Amino acid sequence: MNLTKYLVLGFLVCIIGYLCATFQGCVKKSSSETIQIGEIDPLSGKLAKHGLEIHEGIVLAVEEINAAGGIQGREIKLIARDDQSLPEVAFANAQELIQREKVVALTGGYVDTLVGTISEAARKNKTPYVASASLQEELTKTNNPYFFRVSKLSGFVNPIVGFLTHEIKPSRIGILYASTPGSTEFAKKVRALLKVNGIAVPFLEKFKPGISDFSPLIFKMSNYDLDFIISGGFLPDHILFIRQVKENNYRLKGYLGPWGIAYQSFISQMKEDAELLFSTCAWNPGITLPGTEKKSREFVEHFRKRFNKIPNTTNMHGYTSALVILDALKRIDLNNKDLRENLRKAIASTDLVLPMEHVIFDDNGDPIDYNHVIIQIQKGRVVPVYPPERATGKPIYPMVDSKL
Amino acid sequence: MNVAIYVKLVISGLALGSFYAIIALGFSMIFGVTRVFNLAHGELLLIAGYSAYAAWKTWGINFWLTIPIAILVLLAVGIVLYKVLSSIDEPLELNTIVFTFGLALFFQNLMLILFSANYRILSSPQWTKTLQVFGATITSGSLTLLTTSLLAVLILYFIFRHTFWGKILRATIQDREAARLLGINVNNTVILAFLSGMALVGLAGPFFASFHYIYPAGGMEATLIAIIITIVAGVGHVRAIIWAGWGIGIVENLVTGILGAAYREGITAIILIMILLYKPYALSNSQ
Repeated sequence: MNLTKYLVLGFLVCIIGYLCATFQGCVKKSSSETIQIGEIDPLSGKLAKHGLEIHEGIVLAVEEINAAGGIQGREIKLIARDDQSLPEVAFANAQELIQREKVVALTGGYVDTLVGTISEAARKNKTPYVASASLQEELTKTNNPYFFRVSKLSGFVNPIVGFLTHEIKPSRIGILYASTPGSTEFAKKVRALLKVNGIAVPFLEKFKPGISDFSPLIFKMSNYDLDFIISGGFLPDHILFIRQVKENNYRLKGYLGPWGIAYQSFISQMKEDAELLFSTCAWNPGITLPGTEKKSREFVEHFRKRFNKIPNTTNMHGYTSALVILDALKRIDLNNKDLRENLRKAIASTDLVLPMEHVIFDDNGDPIDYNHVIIQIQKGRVVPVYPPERATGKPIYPMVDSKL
Repeated sequence: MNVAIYVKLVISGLALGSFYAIIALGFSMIFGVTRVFNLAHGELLLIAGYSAYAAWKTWGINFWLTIPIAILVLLAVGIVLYKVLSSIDEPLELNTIVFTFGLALFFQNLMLILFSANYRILSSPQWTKTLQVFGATITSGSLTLLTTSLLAVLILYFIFRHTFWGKILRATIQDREAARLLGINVNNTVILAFLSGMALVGLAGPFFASFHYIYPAGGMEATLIAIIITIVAGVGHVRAIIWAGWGIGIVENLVTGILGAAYREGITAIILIMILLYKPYALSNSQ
């Protein structure tokens, strides 16, 4: 036999082997011993960083439950799909997971443009969906009984307004916001509430996330004598904005960005430029819901072992959303014919105390008890400074000429 | 707003435009000579940026030393890429659009595996030093961008206008078949031009990583900037690239400063459309 024949033979053996393995996999997949959960996240594209973080949290939750023997003796299988940060792909993924893979529920999702399309597919196919990161208030006002989420906009807005009104007490605030539905709604809500509390917002500017030059906005800001700036941008926007503020010698008195600052990756990239910036977080290795310290430590330990890094708040959002589904699965009869409908009802009646929040949903699928803590970066550490009952440090304001 | 603010807006617009011009130079060169419509231009820029970032992070070297490293990496990538691209059949422009679109996705996923989805910045503390120009502050970063892009354009302009190789390049851009009839080795010219274009992308990469930030999916905007500037400036007209870059940078900054950031893209797009209506063969063309 010459070399070509050996190659052809080898190739055929590989193909047969592959087909056998696939066939075995199919048999396993269709086995009644497995319960399948679908996950859709931006695992590539411009939102990949946070999508991958959510994915890690979900993977850990599923692995933990399987290591503990599954649910009612059945293994939980997670089928993850990458929406490439594109809404149309997210919708197609949701349809495929529900109709072809027969998942009992969906989770994951980052930013409302993606979450919104998945929630519509969930409604259409009568399959419960617990979103990991979603804010836009519209989404839970569409009377969609299959949509739940573990985050909400007021969880950011109320602590920020409370912090500024009671702790910082500025006279004039500037708000920058990204042209995304969540950020736009955030800016408008914060502005309205600050006005009610007697704080003027003379500077309100929208920008496209990912722009490469903030200098014109910084020059413009310098005309307004602002006491504090809130930015509804994302991690890369903060990186550029703060750097360009320093380059242009703008004397920043106080800066708060709810998304992207309370991350180790931001602090390690920005180093001393991150000092004294304010942000918010729902959970952090050192910031957990009172009474959940043990659970929080276990999560950090398991996550560190599994992924060889310290988890952040986005990982926890993924973990929390997956735990909601897993907890509901424990409370229903898995042999029931109408599994998805029963699961939906079980999720709606969730009462679960987790490190990030005490998960209870209102009639619209919004979490009742999702509240962020205001933090400040002090000597490279994330220090909770508001509300007083959860603060471990005092806010340092103004930033200008402050010495740590 | 007072005059100093306008001066600031124009100066930072010039710096932004220089940044755009550096990004666009390599694209224009490659497209002009090889007719490869490279939709993976931004991803190549990111590869150069990541190479510079990795060298800076690993060896702690100065920003300027990362540039030759990035250029070398891009030349190596360019040699492989040229081999692959040369096997693509006519219609070349159309086929390379499809091929480079797939290539962009491949590079994005490769960078995702190698560098994770985190945002990276090549920090260079020297950029924050400032000097005063007509009452406005200009940072050393802006000045570096302006100088580098001007230098790159001047060198390219000199080569294009005053060297034999430049004449060969221009002849190949204008009419490939006529150039071949005149005895020009078009294949060698194309290879050299392609690698020169890759070297220009290698030059731009560290600047992109230092003045912006890099992440695996961050190449698309850079590709769009390069395409827009090349269309406005005209293919193979290096001087016009810097004019187009500065024009767009200044317009964007003035619109943001006077009207607000929400109007930036809209008004810039209207102006670009008007330019194309008034000068359909690009700024550099006399028609």
